[in-house]
Amino acid sequence: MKASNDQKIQEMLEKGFMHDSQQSFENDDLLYYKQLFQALDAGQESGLPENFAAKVTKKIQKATYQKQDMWFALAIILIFAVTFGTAYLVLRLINPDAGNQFYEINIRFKYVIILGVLTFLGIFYDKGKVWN
Amino acid sequence: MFSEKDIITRILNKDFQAFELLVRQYERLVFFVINRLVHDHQDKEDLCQEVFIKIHKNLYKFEFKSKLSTWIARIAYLTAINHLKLNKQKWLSEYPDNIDQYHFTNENPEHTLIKKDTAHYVNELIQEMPLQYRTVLTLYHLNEFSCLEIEEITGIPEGTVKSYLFRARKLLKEKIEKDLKKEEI
Repeated sequence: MKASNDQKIQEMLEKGFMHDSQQSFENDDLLYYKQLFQALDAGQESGLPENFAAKVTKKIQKATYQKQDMWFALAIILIFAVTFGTAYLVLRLINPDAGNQFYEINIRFKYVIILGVLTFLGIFYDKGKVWN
Repeated sequence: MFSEKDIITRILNKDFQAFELLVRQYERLVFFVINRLVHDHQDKEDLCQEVFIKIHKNLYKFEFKSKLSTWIARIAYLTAINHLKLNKQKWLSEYPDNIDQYHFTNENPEHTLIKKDTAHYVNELIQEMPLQYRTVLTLYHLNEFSCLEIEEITGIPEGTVKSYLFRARKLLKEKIEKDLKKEEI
């Protein structure tokens, strides 16, 4: 009986019948439910800062640009690697000694090349960090 | 006028102003879900940010099969649940099986102080409730989703959503009734 009373009041308030006869329900149930529904539906303040949308957008924008920059840097490195590889193969075809010389020079300066590549990537990574 | 299709197309074309508009439109929805499900105050803003980053990353997957707000609410809900799982918060495991037997614990002094403001008091009471009750109450009353949409967001069957809503409101009403009567005495 009590449960069906609760059910009826809840359904009634959900449908928005706020001015129904209060006498049909016992023990001020309708009154308490009305108070509860008003409290539940009361708009709440957002606890987020005013500039939240701008902050999130800026963060995503930076991350997107950083990703694009890293892909650009990797593409440049790949182009250099392919150029070196092609140069070596062409030299080997034209003059095998020149090809070997070119290869040895590259091997001799391998640390310089690796350092150059890392510095290049580092600059782009650091640019992204500064943005963030 | 906020047009979902237009704004999504603009965002997918890397228009960041359009994304900022989307965040403004849905920040309250996301905050309400996170705020009710996660208790750790410090994590709330970070989690809201995480939700919008996920939205931006996965927006191309949105197929307009549901409302954008339902899709966003689902991301917010799953992010909050994952956060609770990762932090093994007691709120997640509390009353998982015997949710029907849930009752409010004894009154604490804080509640007496804020009882005059019913909305605030009800909010405090909701924060004490099991996760399922908090979820359906928030999505239904604050975010104004239908029971069917809540099923889409949480995966809880529509019938169960209705039952949780009914029991949660009944518990809250009984608590308010009891407290007000006590105050009168």
